[in-house]
Amino acid sequence: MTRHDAVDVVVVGAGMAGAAFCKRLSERAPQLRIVCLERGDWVRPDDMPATRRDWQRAGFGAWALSPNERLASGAANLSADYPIDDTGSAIKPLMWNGVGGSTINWGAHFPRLHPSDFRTRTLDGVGDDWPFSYFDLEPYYDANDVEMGVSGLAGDPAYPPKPARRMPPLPLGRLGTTVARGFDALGWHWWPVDAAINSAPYDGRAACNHCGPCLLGCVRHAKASVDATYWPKALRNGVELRPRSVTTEIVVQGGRATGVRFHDADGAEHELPATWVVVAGNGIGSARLLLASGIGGDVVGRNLMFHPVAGAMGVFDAELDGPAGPAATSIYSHEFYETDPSRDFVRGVQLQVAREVSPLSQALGAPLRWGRDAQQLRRRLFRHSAFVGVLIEDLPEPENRVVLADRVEADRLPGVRIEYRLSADSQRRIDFGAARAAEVLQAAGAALVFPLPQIPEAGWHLLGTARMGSDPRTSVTDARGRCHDVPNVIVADGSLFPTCGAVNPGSTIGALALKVADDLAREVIG
Amino acid sequence: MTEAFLRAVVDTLLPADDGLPSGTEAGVTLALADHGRLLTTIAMRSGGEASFVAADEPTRVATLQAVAQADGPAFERMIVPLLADYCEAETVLRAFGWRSDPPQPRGFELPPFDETVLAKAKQRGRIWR
Repeated sequence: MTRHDAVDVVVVGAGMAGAAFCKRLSERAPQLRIVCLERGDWVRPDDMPATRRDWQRAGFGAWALSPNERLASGAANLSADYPIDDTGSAIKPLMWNGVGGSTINWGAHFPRLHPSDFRTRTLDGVGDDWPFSYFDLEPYYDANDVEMGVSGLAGDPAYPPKPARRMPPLPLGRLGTTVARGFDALGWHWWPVDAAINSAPYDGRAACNHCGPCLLGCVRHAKASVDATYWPKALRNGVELRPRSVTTEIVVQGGRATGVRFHDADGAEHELPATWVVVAGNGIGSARLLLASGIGGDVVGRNLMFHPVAGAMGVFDAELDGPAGPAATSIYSHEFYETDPSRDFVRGVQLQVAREVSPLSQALGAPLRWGRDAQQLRRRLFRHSAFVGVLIEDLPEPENRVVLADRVEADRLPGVRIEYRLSADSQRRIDFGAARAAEVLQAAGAALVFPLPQIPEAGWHLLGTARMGSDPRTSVTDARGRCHDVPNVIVADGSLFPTCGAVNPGSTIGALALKVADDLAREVIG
Repeated sequence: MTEAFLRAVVDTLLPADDGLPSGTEAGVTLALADHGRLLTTIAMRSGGEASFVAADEPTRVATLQAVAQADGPAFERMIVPLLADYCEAETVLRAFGWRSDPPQPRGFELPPFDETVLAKAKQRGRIWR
C-alpha cells in the first residue's frame, strides 16, 4: 500500500456533483489541495457510436443505459460498472461511471425543483422539508445554469422568475409543436424545457445539430456533460483528477475521517490522507461507500427515490420528425405538478414530451417483435409517433433502500442490492399521470393512443440515500452535507435530497454541490 | 441446415410488408453457430426443414410461436441481433423514409424555435406554490 502525502480535500466521484464541487471550491479556496478520485475513465468522442453505422445497437451493448445490461452484453466496459442486484426492485437503476458521470449519457432535461418541493411536510404533510428553501438555493441554480449552458425561455408560469436563458429554446419540430397544440386545446400549461444543450455555440462548445441519440453521448459536446463543462475549468484551477481510481474505504479513526483507501488501474493499493472527504457518487455509489466504511448508521441507504416513469404513446396520421432532435428535451407540462385537493393523492406529476427513438429501439420496445403484424406496426409508428412521459414525485420511504450484499465484487467493494417497491400512493400518481398523457395525445389529434404503464427500466434518478436533516435518527447529514457521525465526511450529491419533487434532478444536484462547496469554503477561509 | 430453411425462418420473422423489405431482402442472415439448437427445434416441430419451407405463412408462424413459448430466452437471443441487423440495413432505413448514414456528423435540420406558438401558454398566471 502506497501512502501519499496528505491533501486538504479528497472528492470521490467525478460526475455532476463532484465536478461542480471541485470547480467551485477551487475558485473559492484556491489554497486548498484538492484531489478527485474517479472509478471510471474519460470518454472520448471516438468512443461514442453516433458516427458509426451500428449506432442503434450500441444502445443495447456498450451504451445500454443499465450497468447490468452493459455488463451482460460483454461489450467494452467504457463505464466502470459493477453489478447491482436489482431483482428486488420495481425500478431498475441506470447510471454511468466515469469522468462526467451520468451526464455522459443523460437527456440533459434541466428543470429546477419548485419552491413547494422544499416544504412538502409543511405544505402537504408528507415527506420532509429541506433544511433550506428554493430561494436559498436559487443563486446556485443560476450559477450552475451559467456553467452548464441552458437553452430555454424565461417567463414560465410554473416557476418563480428565472434569469434570461443564455440560449433560445431548442427547436420543437413537428412533434413538439403537434403535442403543444394538444396542451393548448385542453388549456393545460406547457413550456419549452430548460435544456443543458446548446441551441447556439456557448462557452467554447458547438451548437446542437439535432442528431438525436443524446443518450449515446454527444460527440459535439453540444450537450453539457461535466467532463466538458466543469472539469476543464477545475483542472485549470489546479484540481488533480485521478481516473480509474476506485475508492474502497473512507478511513475513520476516533470519529474523524483520516482519508481514503483506493486502488488504481493496475490494481495497486493506495492510502490518501485528507482533512476532508467528499462523497459524490450519487444515490447508489455514495451509499455503497458510506455503508462499506461504516459511516451514517442505519439511515444510510434508506429512502431511495427513483422518480417512477410511465406515459402514453400517440400515433399520428401526419408525418412527424422521426429520431431527429435532442431525445429528451422538447416541451413539458407542470399543469399537475402541485397538490390539488380534488385528487386522491398529494404532490404531483410532470408530463414530458420525448422525441422519437431509433427504429431498433422502437422494434425492441414494441409489444410485437416479429411477424407481419410487427412489420406493419413498425411501419405505422416510425415518423408518426410521439411519447408523452410521466415522471412522478417519489416520496421517501425508509424501506426503499440500498443495502450491501454478502459478496465482494471485482472492484473490491461489497456488492450492492436494491430493495424498492412502488407505494400505493405512487401508483395513484402514475395512473393519474398516464391518463393525462393519453388525454393530451388525443387532444393533439393522435389517431391511436397506447397507454404505457410504469416502465421498470427508467431508474435514472438515484436520490435520497444520505439525506439532509437535523435529526441523526432520520437523516445522515446536516444542511451542509456533513455526516452527523463523522463531520469531516461531506456528501455533495443527489443522495442528500430529503424529497425529490417530480422533475429531473441534474440541475438541483449541480446547484446543491455548488452550495456545499461554498459552505466548506466559508469554513476554510473563515 | 439448408439455405432455404434459414431463409424461410428469417422471412417468417421479418416478412416483406407495406414497402418494408423482407429480412433476406435486407441481407439479414441467421448465424447457425449461434442458434443451431433453436433452429433444430424449429425444424423438428415442423416435421423437418423442408416441411417448414413448404408450409404456408400461418403454419410457419404457429411453429415459431410454439418454439418462442417453449424457449423464450433462446428465441429472444435470436430475435434481438436479427432486428439489429434489419434496422441498420440501408434498404430498411430507406424504406422507412430515413437516411442510412449515421446521425453524426450531419445531424438533422430542424426549424428554430418559434415563440409565437406560446401565445396561449403565456396567458397562464403563476401556477407554482
